[in-house]
Amino acid sequence: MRRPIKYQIIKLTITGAGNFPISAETDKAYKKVTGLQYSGTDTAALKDAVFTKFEIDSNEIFPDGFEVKLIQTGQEVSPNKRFYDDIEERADGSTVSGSFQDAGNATAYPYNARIYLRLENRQDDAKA
Amino acid sequence: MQKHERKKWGLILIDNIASGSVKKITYKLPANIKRCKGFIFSGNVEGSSAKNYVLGRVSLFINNRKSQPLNYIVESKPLDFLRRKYETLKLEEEIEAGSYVQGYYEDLASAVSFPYKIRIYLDCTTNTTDNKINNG
Repeated sequence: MRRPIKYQIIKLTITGAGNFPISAETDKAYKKVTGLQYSGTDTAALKDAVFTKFEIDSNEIFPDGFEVKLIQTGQEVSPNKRFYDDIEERADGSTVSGSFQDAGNATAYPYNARIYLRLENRQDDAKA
Repeated sequence: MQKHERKKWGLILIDNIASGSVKKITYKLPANIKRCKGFIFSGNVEGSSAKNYVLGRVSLFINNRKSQPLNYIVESKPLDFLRRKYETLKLEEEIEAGSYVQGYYEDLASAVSFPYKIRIYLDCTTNTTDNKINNG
């Protein structure tokens, strides 16, 4: 039996200042993307790190210049509460695309960055 | 075709803020934005801990200067302090489509480094037309 929620991870390795493409396909077994979260191994890198574009299913989620730190929380926050959850986009194999721009403020390079997508199949999604 | 609302962030960038400077803010809502109902303020440097991490003060008029809902102290804590989710500061009166957001940002000389940037995020909605046909 499929679990109602899945967390899909988009992994980036940031090797220096500059743009790093984000490209993924959401899991076809899930209907909706309902949350986003960023997690990185270098906190200092968050300074001036922005998305130059972030789209799901060709719909803009964040505009050019949107700071990545706005979708990260501290470890003290309960896992369920960490997600930016003001989205409800089609998953079902849709494309996640965008670009992560590092501003050269990391403590050391390379560092790892992860974008978590929360995917769900809810009862009303099944009826849609 | 069905029209439905979608969240869209507006972004006002105040760049190159020097110590003690005052920056003018003038931002016209893009044509595709229907209304805005909240703000988030974010600085790219932290404020001095001795001054409660305060960076500056922002004063904003909305809806072509019909109302002034905001005189607000902008704080910026170190990134290591990152705790709970950022939440928008909600407005009782929404910002209308096609109107201007105007005002000033005043630096209070307590940032740890200069120059710095402030980003003002507007929590907005836009009308989109859904051309897809929902299959049962």
